[in-house]
Amino acid sequence: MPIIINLDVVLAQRKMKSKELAEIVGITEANLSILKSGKAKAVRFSTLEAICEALNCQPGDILEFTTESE
Amino acid sequence: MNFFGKKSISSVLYSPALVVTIIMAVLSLLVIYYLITGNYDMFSSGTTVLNIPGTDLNLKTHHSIFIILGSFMFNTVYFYVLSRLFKTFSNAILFSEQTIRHLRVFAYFNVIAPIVACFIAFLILDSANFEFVIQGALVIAVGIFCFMILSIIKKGQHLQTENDLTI
Repeated sequence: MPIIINLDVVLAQRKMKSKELAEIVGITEANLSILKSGKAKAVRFSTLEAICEALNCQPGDILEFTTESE
Repeated sequence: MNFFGKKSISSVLYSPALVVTIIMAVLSLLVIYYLITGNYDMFSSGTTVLNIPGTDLNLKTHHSIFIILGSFMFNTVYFYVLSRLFKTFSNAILFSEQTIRHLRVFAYFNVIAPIVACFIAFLILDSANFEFVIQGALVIAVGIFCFMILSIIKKGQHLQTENDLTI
């Protein structure tokens, strides 16, 4: 998929654990894992907003667009 | 009352369908027993008389014993597949691979079995009549309707997956 999720990178930069983020955002660890692995089909604006607020970042820091050839 | 899910019409119909399956299986075995023991009489008029062992009683029917056996065996498989389908429909999650699999089996059975039955009746037994063909056509129509429901459930499962993977 051309959309890459850089949640792992941002989490490492913030030195935050997945479990902690899941608790703050209010989603399950399983769903966060789906999001991190890129298996998610869609992300709700409310979830994205909560993640950005928790990690103090912009949506562009988490989501990245790449072409298939790259 | 709901058609799908727990405490639905499907969950109520599951048990009767299973009971009919067992009855049909027992009757099939009984007819096979008659065939093996030869404890029956077939007349040129098409009438079959099944003699009940140990008694002077008998069962008279206007169909060949092979037609009776075929009908019971068909009904055994039909009601077994139907009971499995009812059980799947009574699950909490309707749009699942299990539902699709069972509905597909039921749809294929409804379309293929009457054709095979008519073929056997026409070519081997030479006893198929208009009523038999009409009954077969009705069963095929049910099968086609099941294929339509199957495509709806497939779309539903796709939407369910998309919804589950929306975080």
